[in-house]
Amino acid sequence: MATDTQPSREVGRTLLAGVERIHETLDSYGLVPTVTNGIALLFVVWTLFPVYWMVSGSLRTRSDLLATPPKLVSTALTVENYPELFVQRPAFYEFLFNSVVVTVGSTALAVLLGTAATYGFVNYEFPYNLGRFHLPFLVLTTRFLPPIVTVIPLYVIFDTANLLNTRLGLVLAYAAFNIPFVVWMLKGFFAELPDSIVEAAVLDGHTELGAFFKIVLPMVRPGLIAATIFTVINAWNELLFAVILTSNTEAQTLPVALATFKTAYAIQWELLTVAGTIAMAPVLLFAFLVREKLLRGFTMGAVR
Amino acid sequence: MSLQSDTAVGGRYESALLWVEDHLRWILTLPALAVLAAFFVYPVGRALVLSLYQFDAAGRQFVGFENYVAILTAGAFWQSLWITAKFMFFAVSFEVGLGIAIAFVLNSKVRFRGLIQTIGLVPLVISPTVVALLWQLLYQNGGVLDSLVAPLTNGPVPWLSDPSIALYALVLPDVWQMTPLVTLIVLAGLQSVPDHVQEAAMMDGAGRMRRLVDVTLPYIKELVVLVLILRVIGTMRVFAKVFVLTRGGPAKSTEVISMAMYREAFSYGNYGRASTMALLLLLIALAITYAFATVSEVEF
Amino acid sequence: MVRVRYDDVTKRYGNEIGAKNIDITVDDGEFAVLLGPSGCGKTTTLRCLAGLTDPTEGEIRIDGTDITDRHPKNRDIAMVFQELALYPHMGVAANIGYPLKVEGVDKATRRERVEAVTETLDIGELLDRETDELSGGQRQRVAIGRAIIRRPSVFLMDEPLASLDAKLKVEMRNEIKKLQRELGITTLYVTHDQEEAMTLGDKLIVMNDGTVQQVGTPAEVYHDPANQFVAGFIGSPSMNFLRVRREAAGSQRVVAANDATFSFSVERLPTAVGDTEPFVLGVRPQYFSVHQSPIDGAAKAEVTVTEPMGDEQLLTVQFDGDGREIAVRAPFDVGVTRGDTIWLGISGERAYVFDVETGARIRQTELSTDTAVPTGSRP
Repeated sequence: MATDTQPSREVGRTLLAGVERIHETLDSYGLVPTVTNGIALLFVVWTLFPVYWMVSGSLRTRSDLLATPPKLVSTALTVENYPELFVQRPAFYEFLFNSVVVTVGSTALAVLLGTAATYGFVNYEFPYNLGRFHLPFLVLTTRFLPPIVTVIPLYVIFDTANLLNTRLGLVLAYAAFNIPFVVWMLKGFFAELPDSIVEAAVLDGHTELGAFFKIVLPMVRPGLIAATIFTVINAWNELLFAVILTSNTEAQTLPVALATFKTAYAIQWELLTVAGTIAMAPVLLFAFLVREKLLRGFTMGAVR
Repeated sequence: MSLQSDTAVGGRYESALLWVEDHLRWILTLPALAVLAAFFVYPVGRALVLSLYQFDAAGRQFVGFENYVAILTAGAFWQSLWITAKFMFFAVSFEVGLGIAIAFVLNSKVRFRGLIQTIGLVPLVISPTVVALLWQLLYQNGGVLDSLVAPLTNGPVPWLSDPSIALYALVLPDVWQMTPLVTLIVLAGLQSVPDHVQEAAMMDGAGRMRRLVDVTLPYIKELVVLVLILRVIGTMRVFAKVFVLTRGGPAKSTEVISMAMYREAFSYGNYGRASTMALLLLLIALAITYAFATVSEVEF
Repeated sequence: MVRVRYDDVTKRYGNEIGAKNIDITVDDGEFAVLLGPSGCGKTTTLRCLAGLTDPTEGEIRIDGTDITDRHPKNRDIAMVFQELALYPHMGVAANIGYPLKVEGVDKATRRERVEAVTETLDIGELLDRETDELSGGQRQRVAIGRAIIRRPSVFLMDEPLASLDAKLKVEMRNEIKKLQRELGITTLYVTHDQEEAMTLGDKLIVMNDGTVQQVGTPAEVYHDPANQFVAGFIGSPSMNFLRVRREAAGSQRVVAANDATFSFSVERLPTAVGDTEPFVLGVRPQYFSVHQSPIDGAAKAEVTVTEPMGDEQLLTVQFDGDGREIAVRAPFDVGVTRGDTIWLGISGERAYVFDVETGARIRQTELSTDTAVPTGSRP
């Protein structure tokens, strides 16, 4: 990784010297703020433009959207594409419903089981040092495991267990994939709890299980919220499992519908932009509401 | 409450209560362990069995290690690994390089830094499927990107249909989506460098570059390792973008490993081959995970 | 009437002994202090009573009822933890009233009793505060409030004052003592601080290596230690221990066991000590008499360090031609400085004799009648 081999050091030094010279030149003309603000602006435009383009596309007519050269701003906005999507593809109601059910169900399950397990592993003694040594490794491997590795045998397993094409199947699969993630996010919160808090609660009249629900959970609430946020986003956005484990509107989610949109129809971009916007909107809104927590989570490395 | 008057004390209720308390650690952890066993351990075991069979129209036949031999000797598997590695190399280089550069820019006196950080979250929370669609729209023939590069080219660019371009056309959406992750992580590291440390270095006569090397870099070194790991692992499992944009084409030029496995299992129905590839990929993933876990001190 | 009885309680952690053959009784309303160095088993002993640790063997009874296998919440016991364990997500009033809430007491009654308790503890004005806004002493009081609000039959405290500064410690100590007297609740208190133990306890239970060394009043463990460990642990600075033997058969003079580099007269050596076998002589620093000229029965020594302490001074002294250092307390007006030669004598009743091998106390066969020390019961 960060081996200090001579050549790489040399390159780095030259690079830094170059940056330093540019910086000094700019500085002598008083241009540093202009340049940095300019780069920041470029970053913002680069980041937001694709999103803007899809959202604005959903509010345009087909010809307006696909005009050559592209019209960056449209004068003729329309909302007709929205009802049109559901008229032409009524199944989108079901996709939406499936997405909501699978997201809520799998998040509830993953957070519940993940939280209980983390608390158990961190706060109790286990044979073979299960909690202290093996748990982090288990979490590490399952977090880093490419999902394609398990999903193929899982397809065969689901086939015999009659779980293909069911929301329950997806709920279980997503929960399983998010549990290690929840464990990873909560480990630190539970490790910080002093033992005596639970003991105090027990002497105050709780059972240990009661103390877990009444005292411990409220104390790790920030962690629970963060874990829930990331689990919701993961579940809402997931494609691989959904596309393999479901094949019709019984259980297919929005990402599957989006990914297979063009095979079912010739690309109707005016409708696909609507579908894409519908798929983005909830997470974007959600992300805006909890941006502080998201920011902290991402900077910790909370990414699947 | 006194010791004598409480009827709940002693007897069946009390012994049930004590049983629960004595077994609480298992009650708390077994459900999650059961789910993990069912969805990680069992599938891997199942894959081991499946990998010994050949699936075709006639059903399945036991073939021993033939699948392993076939995959390791034929070029297709290695080809898809090579494509994955190329995707990984370009995506990770640009994401980490650009991400760090932007983080340094944002760490200098920039207006609306908080707002820009929030905007950086936007690509990160969008589904990779939607990200692929965003870019598919930009890649439209005569679309936004074509008109952007028009001065340099003659006519529209076949972004997704030219085998020599398609892989880079897949790298771009990934760079768009994940560069902000690097920026956010590194920026957080830069902002954690205490002013007084910078000032102390300045008093010691360190120039801007010296301070960067001696003071700032040590603060973000660990974080750079972290994002590097996250992105290597992330690009290794890329699927949605490929599935939406190219399905591995044209001419298999973008058939990354997960796409190749998907095709083997669900286009050709050969679960045996696909499982074999899954196990080989598992070994590679374990090796990388283990390497990172040993090399870095970052805690996951 | 709440009487706590440990009946041969042992706790093992795998092969390690946490506490061994604990056999103690705490009477109704009594303030018992478990005292010992860290790792001596005092906290384990306390936690067995609370039900937070299951004893490996033995029984614990409260008023004759065996509670060994009872859930902690059904033992009618309250505890103050070293870390205090206030619930950080609850305010002061909620913390104190929590045990009542769990018990199902209605809100109005709860409020009433919380107010009464805060009144007693003199923290009435803090009721609506958050716990993280409180000072150390205030947090202490809230933790005590939460423990006493239920009027438990037994009150346990595990080093509750450990995190306070010295002045606050003394203040809270007095308060706890007063409160315990007023409430008359049977109390077990764990500490490693002997001063705290001496001022608080009606009964001290001195522990070491998982076993009880001595049970007695503060005066008893100080003036009549059962063994060398108790003698050395209680008292500050510690008792000096010298390995000696009789100078000659039947002599009341002792000399250093191996090389006879010093000799003292000690009256009333226990007759159980043989004529040539070595034994340990224990003398507290303040029970030496310091002379600046040779005197019969005193040992010649050299002063190496002097520490003035107001009315007294603490001398570190080395016997002639001998590396061993002992601590001696002398009145401030004894004018000695570093390097001076002095002669040390011992007032006979205040020297203790211990077995070299076991550290057990060897007593006078016939007890002298003129001892000022009350000689009470021993375990």
